[in-house]
Order: sequence, then C-alpha cells, then structure tokens
Amino acid sequence: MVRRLSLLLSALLVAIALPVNADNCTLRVAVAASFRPALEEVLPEFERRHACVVQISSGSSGVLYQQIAHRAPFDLFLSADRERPELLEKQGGALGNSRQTYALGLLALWHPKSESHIEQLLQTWPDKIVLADPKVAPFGSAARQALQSLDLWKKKQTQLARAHNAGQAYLMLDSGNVQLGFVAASQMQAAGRDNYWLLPQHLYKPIEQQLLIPTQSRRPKEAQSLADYLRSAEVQAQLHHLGYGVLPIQDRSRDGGSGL
Amino acid sequence: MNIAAADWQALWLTLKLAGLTTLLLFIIGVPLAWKLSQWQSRWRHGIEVLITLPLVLPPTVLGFYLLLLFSPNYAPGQWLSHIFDGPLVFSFTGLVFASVIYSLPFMVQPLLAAFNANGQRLTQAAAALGIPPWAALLKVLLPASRAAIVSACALTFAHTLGEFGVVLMIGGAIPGETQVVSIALYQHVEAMEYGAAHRLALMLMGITTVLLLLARWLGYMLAPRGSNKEGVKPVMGVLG
Repeated sequence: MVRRLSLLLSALLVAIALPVNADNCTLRVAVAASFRPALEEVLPEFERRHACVVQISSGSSGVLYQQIAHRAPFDLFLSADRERPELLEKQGGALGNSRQTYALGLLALWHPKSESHIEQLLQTWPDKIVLADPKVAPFGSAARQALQSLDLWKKKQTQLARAHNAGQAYLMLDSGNVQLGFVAASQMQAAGRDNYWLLPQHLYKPIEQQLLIPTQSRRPKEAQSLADYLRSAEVQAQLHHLGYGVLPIQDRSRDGGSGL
Repeated sequence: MNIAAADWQALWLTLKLAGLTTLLLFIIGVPLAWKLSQWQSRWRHGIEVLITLPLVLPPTVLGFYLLLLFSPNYAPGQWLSHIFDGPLVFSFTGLVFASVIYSLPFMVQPLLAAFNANGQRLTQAAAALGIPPWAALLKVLLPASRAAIVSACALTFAHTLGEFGVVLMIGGAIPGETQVVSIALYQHVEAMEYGAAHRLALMLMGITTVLLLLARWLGYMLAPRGSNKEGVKPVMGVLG
C-alpha cells in the first residue's frame, strides 16, 4: 500500500515537474486592467495564428510600470497611458523603438438612470460627480480637461469625488452610490450599456494607450507580432466596436519599429 | 525634510480615524467580549467565527461589500444614510463605520482571551462577595485585564492606521475627509513622486513607533504586579 502510494506520488511529482510542451511558445503580457477585456476578446485569434499561449497579468499601469522597471519577466507591456512607457523608454527599459500607440481611450459621461440628454445634465447637476483621480489616472486627467474646456472645472470643484481609476468610478456609478460621473466608453461597451454621452474629442487631449517590449523580454519576436496584430486594421476595427477611438492614419502606417 | 500640507492633513486625518475607531471599538468590544466569555452556548462559537471574518476577507472585497451596503439603491443604504444624515460613501463617517468592522477582531480577540482566562474565577469571587455582575466587570475584571486592554487598543490603532484596501473602495481620496496616509502614499507612488512617498512613509512609521512604544510602556506600568502568573499574558507578544 505504502509502496503503491509512494509510486503514485513520485509519478505525480514527475508530471508536475515536466514542463508542458517544453518547446511551446508562452508570451507574458502585462496589461492595464482597463484594457484586459478588450485584449481577451482579440487574443484567441492571435493564439490560433501564432501557436502561442498568452499569459495575461493585469493591474494598474503604475504598478506594472514599477514591476517592469525592476525587471519583472514580461514580454510585452500594454499601458493605459503614454507617460509610463515613455518613462521606461527613457530609463532604457524598452527594446529598440518598440514603443507605439495601440489604442485611443474615449471619455464618456454616464448617468445610470437616464436614457438621453446626459450632456445637459452636467451643467445643472447639484450632486456629487465622480471621476478618476486626475493626478494618477489618464481618464481622470481627460475628465479634468473636458470640464475645463466646458468651463465647469472651478464651478463643480466641491462636487467632484475622485475614484482611484476609471474602473472604480464605474463601480461607484453602477452600485448607485453616485448618480453621475466620467467613465471610459470601453467600460460602457463591455457592460453592454449605451445610455452614455461620448464627449466630443476636441474637449480633451487624446488618451493614447501605448505599448512597449521590455528589454528583459525573452520572446521579443513574438511580442512584436502581438504588437503588430493589435495595431492591425482588423483589430482596430474590433477595438472601435469595443469603445476605443480610431488610431490616426500616420500612426498606423508606422513601421513595426524594431524590425524584428 | 519638507512635507506638503496635504500630507500633514492626511497624517492628522489618519490619526483621527485610528483614534476614533479604537475608542468606538473599545466601547463596543468590552461588553461584547465579556458577554461572549460568560455565554455557555453552542452559538458562541458561531459568533466568535463571525467576529473573525474581517480578518479573512481581503480588504478590497470588504470595501466592495460595504459599497453595496451603502448604496441608496437598496434598503440598508437608504436607512444608513437616513441615520447618518447623508450618504456614507466618500465621507469620514463612512470610513469610521468601515474601520470599526475592519478592526473588530483586533479589539475583541485579545479581550476575549483575557476574559476567558480570568472571567469565571473573578466574577464568581465577586458574586460571592455580593458584587453585581456589571460592577464586577468594571471594578474587578477590567483592572485585572489591563495589559490585554492596552494590547487590544494598540493593535486596533495600528491596524486602522495601515488600512488601505477598504478606504480605496469607499473613500474617494478627498483631502481632509477621506484621504488618509495609506491613500496619499499610494497616490504618490502612482504619480511617481517617490521622494514624497518616502518622506510620508517615514513620518507614519516614526509616529506609529513612538505611539506603540508609549502603549507598551503604559501596559507595563499598568499591569498588576506579578500579573503574569495570573494568566493576563499580553496576547500578542509584539505589543503588550
């Protein structure tokens, strides 16, 4: 009995220790939490074409940036902003000139109880308005710029409640704790809601989401393939349906960069 | 070492929150722990497990459920905002409410251990002398459990100081209202202001160390002579 058990155990241990298909390609991607649903949507096709398994780690761009700057073993970094990839590149943490824009975030105003005329609500709204923290979240600084463009930033100052990021702002609205607030259009689309106001893009600076390949990437070639795939016309069209803006033409025609 | 006004404000707010939470939990925790220690029922274990739950739930998850509890979409939230005269989300009152739940086990557990060790013996002795139970608690049991009380209060205070996940979910980082040190620190790190983050963290640790050393010293001074053979051992060796 004991012998049989020990045999079983050793067999198990061997099975665990053996890497699954040692030669197989695994790509580790660090992605900003807000982009995760969209990434999961378009990944299966990439995995099918490239016979490559993609492991996703998601979190706040700030935390991921920290980890990658300290040599966390990621093959590709998809940030929710432009600032952090730029910083990583400056610090020599990016491979070649792999830094590129892969998506444009769009700002939306949501009032869960309304079906229409949400843009007029903003002017007269007497209660709390939630937005992501302008100091640390790209959607927060976009919301601030939009309010400034509409000449409401100073007027509404006392009513503004800062959520940590767009995800939290959405949660505040969805749970009914706040009635009006700024979220990402992609969140609205992911939740299957269409009762939001898409803010005109001239009211705020584009929310450029950039990617880069960290120097410590073990699979820079596949990472570049994934980056090219994300920027391809077909994926961009999908992203447009998921609530992201259309990349400017000159940005899309830019060469893959690192030439890998 | 220059610390911005907003950071001082966050420090003060944090100390206020931790102090108020400790006071409220002491008022709630003493009768609760005492009742539990006196109670001879099967239900007691269930209640004790319930009190331990805030230790198990990840703070952000606890915060998420509090968000649902505070929501005016449901009856409890409407009732709460009626009682507290306004919504609890994004408010200092809401943080106190959350901290009381979050730090409950840290107050109750040490007290319960002390009362379990001495409660029966002391209350029976007091009853034999004709002292009513509540008087026995106030005049006999509490003084005998001084070390455990100091330890429970110090733990509760320290635990609330470092509270982060819950506040992240329900606070909204409003300066002077809900922007406590843990949140201010996180914002500094997120905004890549590392110098400011280091200074603030150092301040927090400095102040806390002094406060906890004071509590230790107080516990040592207050402990009845030779109390350690009486079984009122400090519950957590770290602080008592």
